[in-house]
Amino acid sequence: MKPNEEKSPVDAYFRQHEADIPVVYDAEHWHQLADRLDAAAAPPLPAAGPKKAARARSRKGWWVTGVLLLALLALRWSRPAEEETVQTPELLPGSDSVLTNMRIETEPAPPAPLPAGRVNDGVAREKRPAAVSGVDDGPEAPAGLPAAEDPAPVLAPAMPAPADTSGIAPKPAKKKKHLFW
Amino acid sequence: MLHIPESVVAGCRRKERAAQEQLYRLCYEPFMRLCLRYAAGRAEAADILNKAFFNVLTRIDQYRGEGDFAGWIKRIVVHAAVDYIRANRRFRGHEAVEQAAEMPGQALPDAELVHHDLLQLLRALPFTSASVFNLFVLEGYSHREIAEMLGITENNSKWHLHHARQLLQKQLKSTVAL
Repeated sequence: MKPNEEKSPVDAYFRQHEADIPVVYDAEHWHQLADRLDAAAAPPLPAAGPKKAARARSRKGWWVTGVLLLALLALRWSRPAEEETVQTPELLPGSDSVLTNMRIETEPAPPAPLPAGRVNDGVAREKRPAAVSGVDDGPEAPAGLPAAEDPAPVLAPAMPAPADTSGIAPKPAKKKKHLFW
Repeated sequence: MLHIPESVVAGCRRKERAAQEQLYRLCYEPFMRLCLRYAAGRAEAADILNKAFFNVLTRIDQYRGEGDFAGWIKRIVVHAAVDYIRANRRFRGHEAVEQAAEMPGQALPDAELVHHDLLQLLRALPFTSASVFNLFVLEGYSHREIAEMLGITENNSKWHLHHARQLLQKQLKSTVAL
């Protein structure tokens, strides 16, 4: 490529003296280049890079799979809970007695029925578990007592008569508010 | 003009290390001088030269024997120099401007204006102006080509050339009868 012809004396001066810039050959520069050429010519070493990357990818895959599994399980567990909360109010009226009977079976057997006319001396009162709620006492009433001798008046001074739940209407179940029906 | 024997070219095509070294030795002086005009120092110039010769020796198969082999090498060296300019323009720009601002106070005496002072004069110019001056005046590229190579406009290239000439003339006026 020909240098641009220009009338500027600066250009002429530089063209004239440029070739006189002293340069001395340095063998070290050649050795550096030869090393680069050797490195470029050498076959590439079996790099661990791709394997590492693949391993990292598989690890990532496991993470994603794990998170998805957890999310799926959480979803699965949350759904039955919702179904129970919805179904419980519908079951309550019928299932009350069932639940109560189940509790009776698990509780210790009631004391032996008192003979007719005998006044309760309070022993039975002490043996009764204090935590038993009045609502559940209804069915515990001894079946062997005559109908006239209701134990409720006898126990009246010491503790309130157990409420008979058979006559009490169950708590109204929380109705699910439906907007359209 | 640099003459490179055909046997050396053939040996380089066969990747013979002796032929490669011979080619490097033959080309070292003119192309190292070219690199020195663009680079900030000798080590950087050697780096540009070696990058260029790495491309020459690894891509020698692309030379089809059309045209001068030395001219083919020169184009590769200039491209390596342009890569260096593009990589360093931002970093060296301010420094060169500061140096150029100090230039008027540093008049060079006649006796000391030897050849390596040309390099000092070039290195004292703003980096892009020096690059444009080199490419236009000493390599012979047009403003359009320079604009494409450096990623500037043609007018910008013209302005840099004018600026470089002005600064150089100021320096040389007192020492050389221009």
